[in-house]
Amino acid sequence: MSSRRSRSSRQTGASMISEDQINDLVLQLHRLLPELGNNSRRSGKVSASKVLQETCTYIRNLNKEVDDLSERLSQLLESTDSAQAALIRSLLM
Amino acid sequence: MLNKQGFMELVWNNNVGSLAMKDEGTSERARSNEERLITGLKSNYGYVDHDQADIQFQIVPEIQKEEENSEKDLTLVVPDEHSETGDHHINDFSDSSDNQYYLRNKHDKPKRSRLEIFSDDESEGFTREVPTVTRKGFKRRRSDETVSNKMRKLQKLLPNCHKEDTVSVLDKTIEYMKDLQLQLQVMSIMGMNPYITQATLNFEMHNYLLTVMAMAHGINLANQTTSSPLVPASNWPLPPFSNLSLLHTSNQSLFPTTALPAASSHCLCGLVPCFPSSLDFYSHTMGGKL
Repeated sequence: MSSRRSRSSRQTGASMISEDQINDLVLQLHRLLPELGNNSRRSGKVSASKVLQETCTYIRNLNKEVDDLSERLSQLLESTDSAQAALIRSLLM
Repeated sequence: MLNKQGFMELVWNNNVGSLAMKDEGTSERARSNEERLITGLKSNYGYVDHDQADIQFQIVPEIQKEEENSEKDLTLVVPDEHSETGDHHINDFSDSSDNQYYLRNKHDKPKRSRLEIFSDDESEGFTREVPTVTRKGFKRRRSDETVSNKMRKLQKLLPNCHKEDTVSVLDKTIEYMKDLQLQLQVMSIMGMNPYITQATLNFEMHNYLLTVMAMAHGINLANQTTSSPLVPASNWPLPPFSNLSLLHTSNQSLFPTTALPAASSHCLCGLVPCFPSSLDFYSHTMGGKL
């Protein structure tokens, strides 16, 4: 990231501020991602493109899981007894 | 065709590796020698495989998924005797001019030895249109392109994202991911144990909602008159949260909305939800109650 920062400083001064912000955000995102290799979460060397790409896939996966789960839940709701079902329905819908 | 290839090889040779002629499609677009020179410079990127993977994502139209992207790109990388280059190229280059360059990269085999010809100093003077020829330069530029492309992809994924600037897209992404994770947690809890007691349900929903609100996700909760987090459970007049549609517009019907039912006396009002570690919190409750 430092390379990008130094490069942007050549272009504008204003973008320097946002570069730091962006770095922070990317780091945060990286922390949120389910990491398979990084137990220590080295914060110094996060590649933005990799993080972004993993984010895309992760969000897609999450969406898919939400879809699946909600389908399951709706099926469950149909099958449970009426009291519980009513309760759950009132919460969710 | 072979003659043409041979001819192009002559033109390219001073800049590019011998396989440069393989993208016949360039003849359609590289109308001048100068342009060819430029693309030749670009094609001298000594791209590492890892970066090449990035390149591949750029070329295919962004609506496709990454898996499909990589597959489609592979067909394009195949030497021209297999593909109808003209059509492929035209399709792929419709997006932006930058795509041209990157597709050419794939077709042109880089000769790493040629990189030595271009020094760092030379690259400094180039404008943005002409690429920096150093390895660091290419990677930087390419990574910028990949980043912006991925930003666009992310934007499409995010619901109701109307801003284009990087910072806000990243912000929204982070919030969205947190929301999604939370949502999945709660839904999985409910899914695993449909017979949870009313108390547990209330408690968890309460905490869930409070957590969400505490995170202040900039969602417009229509009737957001929540009391403080420490409200005793027996006194809940939790107002109806019409449309706590956190996420996923398509799933609004299932998650989470309307008013909680009347509080039961079993609610554990003593437990304060821990907001930052809400996810851990839920896992604990799961372990405790299920």
